[in-house]
Amino acid sequence: MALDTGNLLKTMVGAAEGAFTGSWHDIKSYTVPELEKIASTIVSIEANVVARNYTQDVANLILRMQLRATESVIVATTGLVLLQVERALNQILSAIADVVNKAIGFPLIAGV
Amino acid sequence: MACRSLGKAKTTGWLASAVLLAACAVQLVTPYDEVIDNGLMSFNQDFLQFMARIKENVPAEDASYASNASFYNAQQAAIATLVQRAKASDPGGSCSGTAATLGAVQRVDSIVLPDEAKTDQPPPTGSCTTILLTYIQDQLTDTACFHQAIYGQTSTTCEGRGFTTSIAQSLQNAPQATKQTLLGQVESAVTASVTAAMTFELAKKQGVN
Repeated sequence: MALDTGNLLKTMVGAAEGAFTGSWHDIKSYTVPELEKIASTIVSIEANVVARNYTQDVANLILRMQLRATESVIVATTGLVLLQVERALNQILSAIADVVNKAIGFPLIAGV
Repeated sequence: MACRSLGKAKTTGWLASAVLLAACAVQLVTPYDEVIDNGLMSFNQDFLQFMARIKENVPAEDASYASNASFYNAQQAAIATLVQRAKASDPGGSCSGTAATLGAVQRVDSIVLPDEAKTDQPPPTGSCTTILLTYIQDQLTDTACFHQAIYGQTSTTCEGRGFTTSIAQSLQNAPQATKQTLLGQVESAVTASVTAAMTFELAKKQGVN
């Protein structure tokens, strides 16, 4: 059976459809609230500097911890997006595995 | 058929990558690791309990760094073990799959941090899990340094991270409320880093959403 580019593309796009909707859900439910908390703490640090509770040196050190927390959130978000990409790729491969393997006559796409 | 990660395949070129893509289930992140998941939950619980006790009792002697150094030693060893495990499971791993992500992390560093607050430490590398655990290690070290400074002390390690004797003196002389506020902000930074690692590990377990 000859493979048809149009049909293959339709199957792949169908499998990919909606695969990335979870990325925005993750960002809304995890990333944004976490960044809001960190922003609130940074504002509080500034308020303590203004009130002369913290010296600038102390503020710099606690700010460094907050920025590291921000980096953690960014890295975790990256990981979540990579997971979505991984899932989408595997959904696409899985969707076309049968038709491609039958057409070629051996299991080119396996283990998906 | 055994499967390989795309990250490892990239060094063999695009053609080989395409063949591997076609031959295996694609794996872009390290698989879920129950030991790391449990280790993070255990650390989180111990840390929150510890900080609640320290905040409540500062500046009493039983809340001092000296009286609680064993906690830091035990937790640093526990997190270091998780970092080793993450590295061992994916020695060539990378989390900077996109240039945009790497750029975002670097921009965060360069936006506001004054030169005197920066350290000479290179940014952590490895898989996303390895990087997240390394951040927790750094956060815990800074927590220990703040704890020492509140009691007027510093160490060679802490001095190397900017915790000078004069900072320790100023924090030791600060009112109790300021010390408690500071410890709360330290705790929130550590918690954010731990939550990041836990969220990622849980997403791997659940297959995202």
